[in-house]
Amino acid sequence: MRRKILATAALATVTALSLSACGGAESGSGVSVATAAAIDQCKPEETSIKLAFAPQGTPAVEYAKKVMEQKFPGLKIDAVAAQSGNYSDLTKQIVADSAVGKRPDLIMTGLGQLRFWTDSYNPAPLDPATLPEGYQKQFLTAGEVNGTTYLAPFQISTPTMLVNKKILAEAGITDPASIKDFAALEDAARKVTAKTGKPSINISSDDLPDWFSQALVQSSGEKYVAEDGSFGFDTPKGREAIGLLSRLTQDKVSLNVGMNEGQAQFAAGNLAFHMATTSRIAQIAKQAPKDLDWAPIDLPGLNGPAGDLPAGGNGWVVISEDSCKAAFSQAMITEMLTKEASLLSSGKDYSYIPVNKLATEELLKGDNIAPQMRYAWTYDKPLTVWGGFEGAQTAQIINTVRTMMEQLATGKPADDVVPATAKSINSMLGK
Amino acid sequence: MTTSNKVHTALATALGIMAAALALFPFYWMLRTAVAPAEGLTTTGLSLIPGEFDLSNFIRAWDKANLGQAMLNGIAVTLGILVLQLLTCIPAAYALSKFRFRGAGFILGLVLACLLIPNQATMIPTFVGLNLLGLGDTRLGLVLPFVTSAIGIFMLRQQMMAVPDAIMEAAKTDGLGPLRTLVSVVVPIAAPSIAAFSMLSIFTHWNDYLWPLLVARSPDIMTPPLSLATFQNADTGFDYPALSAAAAIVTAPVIILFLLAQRHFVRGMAGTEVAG
Amino acid sequence: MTAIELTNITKRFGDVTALDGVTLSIRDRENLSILGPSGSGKSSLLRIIAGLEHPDEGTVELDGKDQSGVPAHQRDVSIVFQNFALYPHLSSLGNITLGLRHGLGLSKQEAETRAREVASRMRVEELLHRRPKAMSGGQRQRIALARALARHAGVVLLDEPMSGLDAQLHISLRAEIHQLISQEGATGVTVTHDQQDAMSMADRIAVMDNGRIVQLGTPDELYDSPVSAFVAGFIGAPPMNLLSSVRTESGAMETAYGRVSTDVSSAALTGDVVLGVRPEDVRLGRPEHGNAWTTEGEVILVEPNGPLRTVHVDLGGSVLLLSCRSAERPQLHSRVAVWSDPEKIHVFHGPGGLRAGMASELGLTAAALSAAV
Repeated sequence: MRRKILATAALATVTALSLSACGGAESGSGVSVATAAAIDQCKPEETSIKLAFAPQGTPAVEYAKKVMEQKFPGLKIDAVAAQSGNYSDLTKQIVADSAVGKRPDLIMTGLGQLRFWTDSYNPAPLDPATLPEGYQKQFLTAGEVNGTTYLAPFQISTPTMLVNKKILAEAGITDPASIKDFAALEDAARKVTAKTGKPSINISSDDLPDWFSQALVQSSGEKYVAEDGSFGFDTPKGREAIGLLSRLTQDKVSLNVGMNEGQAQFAAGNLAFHMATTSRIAQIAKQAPKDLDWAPIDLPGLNGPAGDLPAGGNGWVVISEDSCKAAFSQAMITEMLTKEASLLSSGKDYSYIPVNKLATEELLKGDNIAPQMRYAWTYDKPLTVWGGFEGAQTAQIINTVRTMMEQLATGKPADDVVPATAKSINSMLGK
Repeated sequence: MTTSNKVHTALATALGIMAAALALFPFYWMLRTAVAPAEGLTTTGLSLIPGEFDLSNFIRAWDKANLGQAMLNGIAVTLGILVLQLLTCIPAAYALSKFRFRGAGFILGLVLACLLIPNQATMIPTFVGLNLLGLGDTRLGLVLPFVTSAIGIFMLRQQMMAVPDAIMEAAKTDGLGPLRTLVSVVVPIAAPSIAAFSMLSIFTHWNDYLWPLLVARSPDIMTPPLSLATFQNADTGFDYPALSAAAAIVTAPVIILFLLAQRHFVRGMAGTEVAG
Repeated sequence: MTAIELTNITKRFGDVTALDGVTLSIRDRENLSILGPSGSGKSSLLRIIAGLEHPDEGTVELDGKDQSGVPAHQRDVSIVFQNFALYPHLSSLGNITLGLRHGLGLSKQEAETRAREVASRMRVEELLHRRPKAMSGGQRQRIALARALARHAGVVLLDEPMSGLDAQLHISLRAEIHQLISQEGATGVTVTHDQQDAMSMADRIAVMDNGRIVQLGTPDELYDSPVSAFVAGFIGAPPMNLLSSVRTESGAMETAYGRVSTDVSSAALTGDVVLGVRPEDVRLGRPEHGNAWTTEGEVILVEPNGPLRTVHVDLGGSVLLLSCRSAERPQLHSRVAVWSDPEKIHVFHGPGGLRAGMASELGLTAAALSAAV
């Protein structure tokens, strides 16, 4: 099953890249994207906007559509969700549509793909002033490229470390939240393994290798991408940070399985530490038996948490070619980020971090809130952009990073693996 | 039977069982996951035998992914493609195997060259062209690019080549025209290959994801693989029980078809001789 | 009731001339065999009669009617293909009726009635519902023949009808086919490379070589007076001994039988001379009369050949075959004396190895070797 998904994902990326050639040619041939016009100069009855988004956005989109239609009578909003919740599939559809002149005006995109759009589709910059009351603007850094905001984070998440409190307590660790640096993490993992005789931690390299490695590097205070766009963490500190994987394997405490298998082991109560994303908390809460005593903790850093984590999830980007459509698209974004919309996009079914603080407050008013969900909902630290290398080589870079993670997970020292990875990624980027 | 023969037989049987188990395990696992309760899947989900049976996954899968509609679309598209492919591939293979005409070698070369071009390479131009014809997001658009198949022409040609010329001449002296010969003699003799190719075509297009992903946007023309994607979400995790239930529903017709046509399929793939 | 008249048929495939001006009259109800090695053009000739190929030059007439432009299924011809060419997906009944319905336009019922009629005449009714795969070679051959006979055509063409059948079946089917075609009252033309088949089935045999008919005649004519060394070597089993000779300056010839002197009547001999003698005309021992030609050699092989034995005698360079009764057979590796009557020795000459006559007619006399033995 997983193999098939991976194969599909790989194919999807290849096709997205081959499709991007078309898109690139188009934007290069003089079609420039309109910046939004002043909305009061546009006639809603003469305008229609088209959205492209994955199904997880549907409730908020439908809510915002109603609001917009009331505010701007006559405005037509074409908003049919794609079938697949996979961002590569979504990108492919948008690129294909654009190639045949059906370019949507407002798109949802996985945060990791932002550079793809800014590099070849000239999206309209976003004016933070138009965002609704309560919107957590510190998240906007996840939608910035070279200091300009192009994307409004919509359903977001961040890496977290899930811990099994019961197993840790049995190994003598009673305050998991005190595990803040890698040394403490490794020490705890060793203690648990010594007690149980089984691997105690899983950091997967299959699904999101670039995101997880970025999180480990940034939480240790290093740069994933250097100022000049090249590979950022081939430094003594960077190597030591990502070397965590290698040390865990050398200590024989690492399970080294994929994301979904690790999650299953964690939910079954077999694993003390599982690196995950906050957006999966709701699913794990559903899967795990009621008596599993677990909690998310902030991702530790090399010497304690020292930097902002990369954002995961998705956001909205305006790629309209018409200034009035761009204006209405921006207005639509605003309506999708309000308290009410945010409750729909990040509520109990999805443990995304609510992007609107008012929604968070509303959610926390409820009874019997699981502490794990509370962690996801109340996360309010700034987030950085996901990835950040130039967009054209994304698929190859992700593969290279996955190889790096896999090599480290075999116990190869970071001092060997990281320089080689830096060299090949830099050569892909022409640095 | 000597002892060493017995050992060999036992070994061969054991290997066969192992290979079958390996091949069948994913199917078993799909069914096993499909009946697991959605809540707490992973706690029981790791055991080989399911602890509880929960058939509600099938209902959820059927409703949420709109599988009924998707299956009907899948059948219409797959059979549409098959009929068109047979209508084009059979005469083409017949012409390329049993008639000598100027340019036959060149045409065969073109067909073989088509086999070398990956599907993905022609997908975008085809998609653009299809939209120019106004066929984007239509069932016809799902079918049209697959009107003919290079592999089909090639497979059937190889089988038709094996029809002895003497049989063609017998048909000629029996007063059968070229078309009548095709229908009454060549097609029945090439039937195993036609059956094998049909299976191949049905499997390919029933399972095709990429092209429907690009073309089919309206929910009412979604094909089964697209509807399965409903249960996949990169951020919040996959709904495995529903996904497995939906996958079981979607693969069932193909598996049944394969079991029914297995003998033809295997014979056709192996390429049988024509016994005079 | 059909006579076949082939006039000056020429057929070329690219640079290769398969048939080179063949003219042949086949009489009504005659059984004719076309005999030749592979590549001699015999199959092309059959296919041209059937209408499966079209001659580049020349005409085919059936019963006096020119057949050019007449498609195969409209000719009064049926054909039994090499390896039978039965439709593998049809039962015997289907195989027989397909042509009757499409080619002759009979109704399904008429076709089946006719098929059953033929099958019962050939005693193969029980095969009618079997597919070719479920039948033995001989059964398939009978069905192929039934398919041809059911057309009631005036001409039945058979392309290598015996190939692929085992030896025993071969002999019994050979006679049966001959008989069936005669009963049908059809003209039969059989292509074969097997001289024994041709000899036993045919009223007349046309021997072909290089796209030409080199001799046409009854089996006996072909056997007794082959027109060339080629025909002589092709007809008869074991084949005729063909012994080359060297002309000496004095006009005599050095042969396997020693020096042969010539007289006036042999002055017409030109080029290389080849002597032909059938194995049964070579005798062991001392000659019974003085003008016999004698020689001697070592026995190198004795092969059984039915009631007879074929003895290979090495004459020092060339090997002579002779037939003798089992009781007379010599010891292996023994030296034996052999002799032949000059009335039984054929003489071929010239570049084509054409027949000149018998040694006795040409006045050839061998020097007596008896002194040397």
